Amino acid sequence: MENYNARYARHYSLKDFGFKGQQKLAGAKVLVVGAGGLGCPVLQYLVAAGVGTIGLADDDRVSLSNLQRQVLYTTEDIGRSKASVAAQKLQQLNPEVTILSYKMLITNKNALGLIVDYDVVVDCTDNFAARYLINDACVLLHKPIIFGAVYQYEGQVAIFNVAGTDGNASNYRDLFATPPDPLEVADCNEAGVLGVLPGIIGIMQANEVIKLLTGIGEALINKLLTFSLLTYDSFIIEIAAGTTVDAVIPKDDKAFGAMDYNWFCGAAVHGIEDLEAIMFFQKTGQPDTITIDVREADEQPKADFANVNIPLSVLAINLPEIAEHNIILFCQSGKRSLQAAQLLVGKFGTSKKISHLKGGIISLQENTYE
Amino acid sequence: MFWQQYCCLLHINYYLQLLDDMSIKIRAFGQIAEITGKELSIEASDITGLRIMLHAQFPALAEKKYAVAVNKKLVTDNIILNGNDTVALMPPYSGG
Repeated sequence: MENYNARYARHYSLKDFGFKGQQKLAGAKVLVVGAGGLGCPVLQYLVAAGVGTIGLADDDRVSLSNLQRQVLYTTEDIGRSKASVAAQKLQQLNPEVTILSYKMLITNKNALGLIVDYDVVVDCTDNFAARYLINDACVLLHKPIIFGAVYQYEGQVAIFNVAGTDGNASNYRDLFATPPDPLEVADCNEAGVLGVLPGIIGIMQANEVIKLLTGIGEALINKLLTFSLLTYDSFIIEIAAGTTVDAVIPKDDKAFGAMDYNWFCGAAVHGIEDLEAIMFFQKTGQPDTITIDVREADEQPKADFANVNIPLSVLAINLPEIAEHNIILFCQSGKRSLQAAQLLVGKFGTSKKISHLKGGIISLQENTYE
Repeated sequence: MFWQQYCCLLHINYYLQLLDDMSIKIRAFGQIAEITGKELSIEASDITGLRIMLHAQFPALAEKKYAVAVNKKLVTDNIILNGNDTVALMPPYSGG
């Protein structure tokens, strides 16, 4: 057999897969966006399986609370860039595949240029802004997406932008045309996630990539699988491609470039300043400044800087008068503080300077480990 | 004679019930299940009616986004529901 490689011997001997299946993997270019809980297993299994070219994009750094589920990283890697650590370890796993590492956040400015070079995109991101952005970019470029997402003990897997037997290709917006309110859906930071869940869902995504590339089995084309970790229940629904969604997706590159996905998904609000950890520490405690914890009174960890506790649930009912000009809000992950900031902007308009701690108090804690 | 009439009335009642609201089996997922429980039954004859009944029983649903699937097929329009239908309520997940 020409080009026989003992590394893939178990694939060659596999019925319906064989040498041809391996060649298809070797010829494929797959982009994995997000090298976190989902991205780690996706990357490990696709690299091990011998997918010819693998791109990985992530702008984050390894933090202590990642290690419970992001199994590519070790304690020594804390503070290092995920994109570089992952690329290094994956290359050790399989030096024969080409690994392209992008240490950057995917945005409406770089997404099209990045995705256009790949055959398949695997969405392993952890927020709606990125998910809608990747969806719309892949719709514009007609690229398949292997979608995966988790919540506590349940996960979702789907393949979008691939035509089924009826010729229709569904996308994420057929399922959810517009994103939920930012406060509505808790992410892993807030709601927690059992470490093995993204492992299982990520491996399912890797499986779908391999099925799609090699044509084995029935891939989840136009289907959404919901999997329960607690009961092993799988629930698959069929998604018919809608016609109404066309209206909400940017029509061309220019419209895509003009779309503000952070704002669209409520992750940023005009007139409210996002504070990174360093800026937050510079500004909190300054004169004419009030720092408000909008979490409920019993939430942990407690802040070790001066603040006033007014839970969002209280703010929503009764907005207090605030004497200070600068108002800094914070919560656990940055979602409720943004919601609170919106309420305050509604009341004070531009008469006050309103900012909030992006990433919440968790981000302050993680910074201390780096 | 009386017995026949009684049976006839029962039949009419039965069919009227079929035409009117029927008990629809619901499966909820993720954050929706945290509000409604994983499985429940609601009397409704179409999707709009089902949403109204659900939201009356669980006001917290009003501010939640979820997709609706009838017999494992995603539906976006208001369709008529039948007695044996299973409706799934599926919220978006964002975690990764």
